[in-house]
Amino acid sequence: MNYLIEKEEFWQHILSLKNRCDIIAPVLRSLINYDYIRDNERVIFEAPIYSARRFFLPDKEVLFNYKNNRISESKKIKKRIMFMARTDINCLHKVDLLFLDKPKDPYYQDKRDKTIIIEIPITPSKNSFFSSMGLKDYYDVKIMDYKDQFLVKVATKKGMSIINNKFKKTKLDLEDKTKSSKLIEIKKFEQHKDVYHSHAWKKHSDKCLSCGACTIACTTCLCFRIEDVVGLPVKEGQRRRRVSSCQLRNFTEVAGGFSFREDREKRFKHRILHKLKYFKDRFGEHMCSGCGRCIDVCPTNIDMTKVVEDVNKSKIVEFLFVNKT
Amino acid sequence: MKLSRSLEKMNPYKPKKVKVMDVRDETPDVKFIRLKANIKHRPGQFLEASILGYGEVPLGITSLSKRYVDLYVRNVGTTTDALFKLNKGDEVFVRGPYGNGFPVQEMYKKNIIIIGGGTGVVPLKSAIEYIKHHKLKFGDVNVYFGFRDYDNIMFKNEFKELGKRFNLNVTLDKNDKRWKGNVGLVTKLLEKSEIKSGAVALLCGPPVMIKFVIDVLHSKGLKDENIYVSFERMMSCGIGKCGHCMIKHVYVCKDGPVFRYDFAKDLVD
Repeated sequence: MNYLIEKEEFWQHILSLKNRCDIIAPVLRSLINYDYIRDNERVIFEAPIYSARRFFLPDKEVLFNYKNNRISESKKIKKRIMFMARTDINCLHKVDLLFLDKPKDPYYQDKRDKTIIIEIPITPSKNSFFSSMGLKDYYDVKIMDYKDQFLVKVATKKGMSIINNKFKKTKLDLEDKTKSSKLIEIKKFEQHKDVYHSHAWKKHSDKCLSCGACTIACTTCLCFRIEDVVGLPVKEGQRRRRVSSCQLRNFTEVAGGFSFREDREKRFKHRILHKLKYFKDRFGEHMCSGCGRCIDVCPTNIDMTKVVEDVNKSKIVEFLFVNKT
Repeated sequence: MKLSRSLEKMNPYKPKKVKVMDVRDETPDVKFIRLKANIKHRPGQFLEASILGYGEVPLGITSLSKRYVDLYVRNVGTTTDALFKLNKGDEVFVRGPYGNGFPVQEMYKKNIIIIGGGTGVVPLKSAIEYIKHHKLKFGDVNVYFGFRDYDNIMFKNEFKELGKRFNLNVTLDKNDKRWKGNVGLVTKLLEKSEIKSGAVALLCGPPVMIKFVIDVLHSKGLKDENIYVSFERMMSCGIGKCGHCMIKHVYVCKDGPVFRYDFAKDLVD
């Protein structure tokens, strides 16, 4: 069902819902970022610097509270409407594949159930490459510019629940022609016979500082660590999870101090291959939507599109060590 | 604790409170703990055990009972140190069982070779228990355990009983005047042994040991499809979500920790 509505009327309607639910959108803070919208604030149609991940997997999330060896549930969240970029909505769908895989993650499920997603047009990052990543429609509502009005497309029942019955229905439909700034030869990368052993990785991983900025910015970087936090009365506390990063040296450390990915190049490869190979091997689609944030935030300007380009160009490595048998 | 059963089932991060039935010293830094818990599990699975305020640790279940769960805890960090201080009657939190376990039912009628090094013997113990209880379903069973030194020998009190039912071979890396048995690496012991055809091998131990043991097994004619390895990685959530145990597209906690070697040999970073 499609509707046509004056832009200002649409904003007034959305802000009127503020008492019922939280509204989150790209807004201007010190930089453009996803945040709770203030009264009379307007949404900015530009790529936010960080992803909306923290609204689904908070940097620190309480799993449960405890007191005197008894466990009690943590609070559930309020309903919310989120205005998100197309890449970020596709990333959310990818996160669903992992977090809603059996056994389902109830904390994530709760947030997902309580969120109504509105896809908005944004000026993509100069490092984005989503046009190569096969993005699909996963929104509840989508708004598109049509002269002074918004074309409002509703795809789900959830989306219908926020539509005012005064909105004018329309048969008009528009094609989304937004293109990413860059492209990536993902098919060639998928078909590369020995992507792991290519010599092309080293040139890029040598620049890596293992700072983890890429994993902070990425919507689908979800690795977390479970830890207990003791309160002031020692018998009280919380078990919570904290977002971690596979780029950290001790990420694969086991009891006794041995680390399976001690080598920085291995950690660098692991992240990119997880996004562009392993996830697809397991769930059928890539873990990356091409938003370009990891390239935006990298302090040494490592560019995933260039890594893929160099790996694609490299020939199959022949192994030189002799097999025992 | 007033948590409805359905909530517990729905939230895989919420542990269950259980009581300690028994605690015993096994080696200077390993303790045996028996928990009163009705947890249906398979050999080779593990639990995430925790003490509130300290943290969670993955521990392999070595028993096969529906009424209790046996764990061996090595004191290596904050949480295991807290587990070390447990006494009979204390409360502990557990969640699980996790992992796929050894596919023991696929090994009926076969000759079994069990090879473990150091604390790698713990996941293998549950397979040994299973085979012990269903002895007639299996062929000959040969067990090879390698330990660093005399003080680190595990299951010392059970050697006599195990030796009656299985061909048990224990070796120490470092000699000791209290030890009257084999000295040297477990691979050396294996090289001297005869391995009948149609055997299945179960392995667990440090990566270096696994590599050399497999070389010996290959030289004795054993194929990759008949070798099973129980992997060790940092298992934090136990349910294939936190990413710590990932190797390529595989979650060791969920798809493993037991893998057949024809698949596992490509599971390297």
